[in-house]
Amino acid sequence: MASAGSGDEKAAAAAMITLISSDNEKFEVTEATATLSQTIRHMIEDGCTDGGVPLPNVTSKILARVIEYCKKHATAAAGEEGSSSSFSDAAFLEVDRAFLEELEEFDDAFLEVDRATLFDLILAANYLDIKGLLNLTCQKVADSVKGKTPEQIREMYNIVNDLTPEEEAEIRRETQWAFE
Amino acid sequence: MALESGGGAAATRAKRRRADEQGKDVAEGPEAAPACHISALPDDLRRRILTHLPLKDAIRSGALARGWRDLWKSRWADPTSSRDIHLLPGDNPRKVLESLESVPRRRLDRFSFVSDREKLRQPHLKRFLAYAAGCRVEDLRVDLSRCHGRLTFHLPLSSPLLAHLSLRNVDICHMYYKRARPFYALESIHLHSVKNTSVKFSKVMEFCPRLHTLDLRRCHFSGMLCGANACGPVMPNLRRITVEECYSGEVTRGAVPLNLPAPSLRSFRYSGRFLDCFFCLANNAALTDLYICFENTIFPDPQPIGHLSFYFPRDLTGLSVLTISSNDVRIVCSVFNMRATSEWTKKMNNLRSLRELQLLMLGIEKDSLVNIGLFLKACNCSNLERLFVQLPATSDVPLEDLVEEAQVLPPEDVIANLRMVKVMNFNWRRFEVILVSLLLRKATSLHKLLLVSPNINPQHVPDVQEADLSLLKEALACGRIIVSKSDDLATQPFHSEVFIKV
Repeated sequence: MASAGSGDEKAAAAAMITLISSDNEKFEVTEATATLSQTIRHMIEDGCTDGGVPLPNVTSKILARVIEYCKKHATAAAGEEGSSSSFSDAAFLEVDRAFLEELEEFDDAFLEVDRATLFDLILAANYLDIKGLLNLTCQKVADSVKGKTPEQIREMYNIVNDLTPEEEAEIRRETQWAFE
Repeated sequence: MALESGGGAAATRAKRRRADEQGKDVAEGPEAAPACHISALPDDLRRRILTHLPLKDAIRSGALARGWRDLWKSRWADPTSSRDIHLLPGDNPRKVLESLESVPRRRLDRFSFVSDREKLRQPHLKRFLAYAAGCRVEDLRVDLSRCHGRLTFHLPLSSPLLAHLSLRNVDICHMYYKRARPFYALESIHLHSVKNTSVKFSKVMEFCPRLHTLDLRRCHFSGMLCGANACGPVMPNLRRITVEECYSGEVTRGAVPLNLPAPSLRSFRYSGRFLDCFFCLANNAALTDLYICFENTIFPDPQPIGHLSFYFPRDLTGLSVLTISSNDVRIVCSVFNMRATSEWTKKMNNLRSLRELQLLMLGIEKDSLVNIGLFLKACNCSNLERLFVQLPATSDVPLEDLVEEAQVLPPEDVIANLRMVKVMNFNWRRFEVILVSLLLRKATSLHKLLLVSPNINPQHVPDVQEADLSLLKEALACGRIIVSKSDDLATQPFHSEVFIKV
């Protein structure tokens, strides 16, 4: 993958991190992008990133998507830091709002993936400890089941019902109000 | 990414699922789409997904499959995101509060507060409830059944996420509060032994626009709704109302104790004395199940009969399940006998959609059989498929003068579709044997007749025609009748909860 965006060549030259996917593909990212992952941040702090960071739990396909997310949000984080300095006039707020809207659009488009990818993203976000991505993906799954009956959810996610009718009746009885 | 990385139980489950999937793939051919297994995500990730849901949806996930069963209970914190406080008589509420408040608050799904102390001070209760509100609970239960003196619960100070509220022996305070906001998540309210004025209760209802279920047991309502208040708040989402042994003041012209227009009402259950508690239900509600059990017999004079409209909405043609007591059957029959063409008789005259009927025989009198026959005939319930009869457990008076069989026949076409009958407390008494033999003769589609009886073998029944008894024995021999000592849990009426002891 190409190195980080044109705006921060200085930073890129100063600190690039190599991430290695489970299928041995190498990704070069800026430290700012990589440290959105708490897992990688700790590795950097411990100084054990020379020769690349192997991520045996993440495939190249998923890692590429994760990096895409981190790049976008790392820029956002940098932007926030900038605006919190002495400039706080209306123009800056306006820019901020436009940027937040853009970020929201990015997130929505980012989530347009099939279910298998979504679950892999959740696992990767958890493993790499990227809070924003984890919340985003979990929210997406939650939204898909909200207001649905257990039967509808089972059908949607191919869940095999291994409860006996008695067990199921007992579960419903336990908290009857939730099933009414 | 390997799902097995989740480790432990989740990984085992993932493997099992995968094996299932392979089996399925073979059956469905190679084109079958690969299943994505939400169930294969590690427990902590599935818990995290559940934290993004309202409590009701989180609880429903428990019915998906075994691996989901209790997961929601620990969604905010392992092992549980529910907090149960149970004060015993020797406990010091202040100390319990201090220990509760000494640790930082976190999200809770459920907060249950039960006090067995006879005395509890209002400020202490208020602090417990404030704690629950601070944890943004969605399911709140307060039970002060042992408490002497009346304490109050102030709804506006509760968690805005409240979805389910259950109060016992604690009264609801006035809604006056300048920052009071409607509780949009509140769907279910259960009140037990709560005293209230009708006006106050109406105000509370105004703040629950999404209420779905209202369950009132042994509540007392005082005062009347009249003038501008007479028409209570419209409850567009209210679908189920249960009223058990509640008491309210008597209806007078232009004033009613409780008025809850609920156009979406589907289920109404009332158990208690006739005229004890009034509910003005939406006249246009299309009920699908109705449970009416008056514990007292009333004599059919026009005044109370007119009041029956309070318990029955105008249109009962969509009713598919009805539970009714022998007292109500008697009332219905009396009304029909009077040949009164009141609006109410018209309602009862058309129960074509009725599929299941449960009769609660609170007592057996000499005209009980006649009344049942008349009732079935009058209701036109020709699509009835399931009949449940709860006989009284205690032995009755001898019924020598039981009305003769010929007069009690329900016409064949009324019970032509009856497929299943279950009789509880069958004791080989004369009345019961006649009832069962009648059903055997008349219900041509009947293929299962269950008798729950302490004596599984036919007993000697005096004064029963030999033909009746031999018909019974014959049906027993060929398996059309099944007698068992214990109740069969697989065949339960829709209204399986019977509020009074029959």
